[in-house]
Amino acid sequence: MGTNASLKDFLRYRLRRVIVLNLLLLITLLTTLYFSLALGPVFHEPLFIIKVIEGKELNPTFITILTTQRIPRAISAILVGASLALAGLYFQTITRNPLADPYLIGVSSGALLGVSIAYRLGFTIKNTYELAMVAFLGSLIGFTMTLAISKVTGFHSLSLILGGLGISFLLNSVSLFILITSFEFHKVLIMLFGSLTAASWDLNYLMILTLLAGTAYGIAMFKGLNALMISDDEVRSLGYNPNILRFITSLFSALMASVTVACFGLIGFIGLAIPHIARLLLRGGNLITLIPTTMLVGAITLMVSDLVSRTAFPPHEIPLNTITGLLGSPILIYLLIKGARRGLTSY
Amino acid sequence: MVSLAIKGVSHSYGRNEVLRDIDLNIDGEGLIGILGPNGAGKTTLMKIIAGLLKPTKGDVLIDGSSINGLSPSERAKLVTYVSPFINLSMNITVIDYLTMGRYPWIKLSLSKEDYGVLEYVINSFNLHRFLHRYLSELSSGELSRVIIARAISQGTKVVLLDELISFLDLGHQIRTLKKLKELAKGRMIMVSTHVLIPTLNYVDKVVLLKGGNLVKFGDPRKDINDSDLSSLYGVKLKVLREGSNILLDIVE
Repeated sequence: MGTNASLKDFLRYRLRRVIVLNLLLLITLLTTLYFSLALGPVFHEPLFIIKVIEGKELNPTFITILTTQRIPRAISAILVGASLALAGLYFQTITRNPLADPYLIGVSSGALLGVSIAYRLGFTIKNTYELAMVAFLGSLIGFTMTLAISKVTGFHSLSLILGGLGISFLLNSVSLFILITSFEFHKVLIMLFGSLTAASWDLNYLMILTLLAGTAYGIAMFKGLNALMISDDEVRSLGYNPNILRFITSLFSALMASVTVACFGLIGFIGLAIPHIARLLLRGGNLITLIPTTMLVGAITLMVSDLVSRTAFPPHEIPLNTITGLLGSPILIYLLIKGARRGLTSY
Repeated sequence: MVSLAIKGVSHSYGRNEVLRDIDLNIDGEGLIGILGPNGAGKTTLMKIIAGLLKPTKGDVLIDGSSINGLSPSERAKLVTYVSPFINLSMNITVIDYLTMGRYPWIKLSLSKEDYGVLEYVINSFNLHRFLHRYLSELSSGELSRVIIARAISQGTKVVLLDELISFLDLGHQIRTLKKLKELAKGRMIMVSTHVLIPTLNYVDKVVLLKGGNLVKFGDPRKDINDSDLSSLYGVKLKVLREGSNILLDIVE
């Protein structure tokens, strides 16, 4: 690679690879979306698109289910998956810790506590924006508590996670206590283990807003955030302020994660595993390529999880958290072992 | 040409004073060594020169303008600071890390000049084989070379390399210092280190620091004597000169 052209060639090859990968993911997303619309416990129409093309009429019951339930729910799945995965990616970036996940560092649990208190005070899922607001405040409190513990214990990567787990258990218990004294068990279960049953256009509009804000922020600040993964001195030497960057990033990440909790309860694993998978697929940690890939993989994973959750044992729904864990952790473990054998990861 | 003026710089972390009234004028280009025992204030001085740390007292002027008066983005185009203490766990590749050096200059995508600079540092430090690797996959010597290359890729007039040659073996220390001397044409490169003999032989000027005080600034071939180095490290040393080569003898 002695000439100017060959570095360009190398970068061009890499860019082409990123584009092909994202196109494949997009095709996978659309395929998943199709099945997510076609399949369900109440009504199976695996080949409905053929009927539409042939001009045959669809069953009116199916159309109603499609427009009032499956389409908003599939969109919710895409938005929740992308939001949680992106929030995880940002938290990992600002803590320089590949194990960070909103579910593990007190963010989701703080949001849950906020929502629980709001429910206790008489708010319902119809008060979407108020719920999102208290969830956001709660998530900031949870994250601040985790950071405080992590700081006292020396800021290394495991102290963040262990402190975060401690805070999460504490806040979840308090939330459970509040919820269980005011609601039927089923609703409590949904909040604690996640479900997209409540999906609606109103919730989707809210999540589109927060996801767009989070994505735009990450793309606008990708240079500073990339440098943040190296060191604070690196950030300063390049002319950015690491503390301001960390603060604003945590606001955007907490916002994205807490809105999903307000709408659909706790959904773990996505924020931890998806950025890992995206890094392994891309073979790199540059945020400008990680942001779109992480969102795509997150959306696909959550849509598949939701599909399994509502079609595996009809008419019952399996809690989403169970599926995300079952689907995701083996992938994560497999990729980690494979990566570690090749020396790809840094553990 | 660069002119660096350190004017009455003192710095304290809480009650602990780590730099005391440093006055130093360094004019022109070249390779400058900063030597001193542990806790002498080398890193603090470098971070103050780079504008990463605001001194408790005094000021640093580069080409006549105060480093703390510049906007952070202007400062990033004038001075670079790197240290070996970086995080390796986030799967950053060598080429992405090297490209970070161009961030202060990049508008939307890499310009012809950005490609030129990157190609130049890749060639200078022989990094072709490493471009796609993660930083965590490099040996400590390879990583030091990559970090130095990253510093040069920022393309600033003043480049501060903190402790970076300390992690290299003797051969790489000498090759790196030679390379840095070559690269120091047209810019000022400062290296802080405990690596004594190779540094004294390759730098143009050396700054000796001890306990936060400036002990001496000068040409190691003329201005540095036995008692300077002996008092610096608290062991009796004798400076032997053969032509332009500098050797050290341990007297104790």
